[in-house]
Amino acid sequence: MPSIPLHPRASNPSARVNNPLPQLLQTPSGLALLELQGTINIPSQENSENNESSGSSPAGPGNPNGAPVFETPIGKLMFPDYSPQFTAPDDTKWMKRVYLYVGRYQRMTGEVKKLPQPLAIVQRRQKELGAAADDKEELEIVEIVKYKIYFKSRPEPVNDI
Amino acid sequence: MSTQSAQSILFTHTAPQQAFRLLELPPDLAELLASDNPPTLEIKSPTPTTDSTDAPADTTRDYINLCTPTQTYRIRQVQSSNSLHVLRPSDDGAQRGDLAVIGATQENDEPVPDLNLSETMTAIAKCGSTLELHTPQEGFNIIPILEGLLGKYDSSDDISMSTRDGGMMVDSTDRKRIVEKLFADVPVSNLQCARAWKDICAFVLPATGRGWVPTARAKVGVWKRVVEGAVLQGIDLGTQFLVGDLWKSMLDEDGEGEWPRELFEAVVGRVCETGDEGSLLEGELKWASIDKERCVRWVGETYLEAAAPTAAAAVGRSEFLNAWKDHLPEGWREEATFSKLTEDKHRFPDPTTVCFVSDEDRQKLKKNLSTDASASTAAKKTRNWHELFKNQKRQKR
Repeated sequence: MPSIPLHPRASNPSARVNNPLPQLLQTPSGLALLELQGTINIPSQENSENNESSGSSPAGPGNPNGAPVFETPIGKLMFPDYSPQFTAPDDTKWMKRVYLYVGRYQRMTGEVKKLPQPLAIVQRRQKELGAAADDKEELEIVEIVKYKIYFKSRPEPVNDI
Repeated sequence: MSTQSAQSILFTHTAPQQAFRLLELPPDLAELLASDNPPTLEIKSPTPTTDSTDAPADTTRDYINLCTPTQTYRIRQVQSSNSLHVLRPSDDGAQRGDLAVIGATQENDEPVPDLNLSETMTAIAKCGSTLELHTPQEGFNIIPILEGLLGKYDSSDDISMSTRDGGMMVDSTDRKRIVEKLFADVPVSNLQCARAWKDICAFVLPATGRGWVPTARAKVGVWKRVVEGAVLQGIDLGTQFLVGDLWKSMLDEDGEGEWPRELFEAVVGRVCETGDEGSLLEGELKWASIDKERCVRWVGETYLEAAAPTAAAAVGRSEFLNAWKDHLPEGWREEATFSKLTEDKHRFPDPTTVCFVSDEDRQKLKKNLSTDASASTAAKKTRNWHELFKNQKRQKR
């Protein structure tokens, strides 16, 4: 059985995008983790493709299949006790409260938690163009994440804000 | 309290989703990966035991290990009822759906002022399970796997037989390449492979293009010759000596040896002071200095394995002790006592005899001895139900 290499760093680090999360949750690649009880139900792929056919659908960058990238708005994420200007770096009180609005009238309350053990986000390494198809599989660690945004309770109804 | 003033981040879901796995990192591994120059890790699984090629390889794998250069962890997939989403900041390059559903626009399609759309986090993947790493208590027991990949060497006849067959493909005659290829098939880290390699006195015969493991008989034969040669040449095995000189003492008048030099070096390396196993793949031994304790134990156990491999073939105790003494350099004869042997490598089937306990039997014994009760309470405490039920299943069988 051939061994599969797991590279400790990503081969092509993703382009830097302005990261709106609090400093503590920012990682070099921008990736972050959000844990929910249950799942986010999104209309199936066919549906969103139908929607798209009406409008223009530019293929997003970094998409290996060339399939159109489509973002479905779900809600808003809020760190009510955090302010980039006024929260001291060693202040952790803001971590106790995070809101996730789903649609307009539901809100989940959660918190930012330090993971008991850091999690490595692993993906299949993208093959270089021209590499043989039967080239062996390689994996890479894209990011190591130490915190997660955690919503353990169900959504509660709220007024439109 | 108003949340109006707080910053809102638009949260979206990106389709198609990407494939990620989440791997929990124990502290030592996390530290290793955070270092300036982290090594490439390896994911290894055992070679399927069935030789039939039509069986899909995936079903025959029973475990997968993650290896650093020096350590091995077993990977276990843990399902979770919660879903972990991987988020990344959105670059705004993709098309968005109807923002009105979340109240980001007002009735007249004017954007709500406090929601800055460039501040977007998007979910790009969902993981329903994580991968946990743990180190099995019973160890990895890789020696049988390693031995399975090697030819059994009892005497030089084995070599001539296997080369006469012609069925052997000689891929490479480079020693280093051969060893690396072998280690790729052993599902633990290279350091652990190298230790096991040294432990069983494995060696490569470059001409045959493969690795060999000597039988206990062959090892005893080589060692006996070493002791005799040392006496003839006046080499004191208790001090540092030149390996080349010792090798010359083993050759006859025509410069021919009964054993291959590679095997000789493997045996000498086995009884020497433990050095850095990482150097295993480099050049030949020059200077050696034998570790008395290690040597006495190894000689006793190897001789016992050769003379009395099973309880049925047990030998008399005093007979064994005398033979053991005869296989040691003169000054070490008194060292040969039963207390020097590893506890679980020998047993006394009746009051006068002694026999060897093979690795296989030892594993069986260990499994029976493992206290299932304590394991299940530990499992309950850690709320690790996986472990708890595993033990119950085993008891039923």
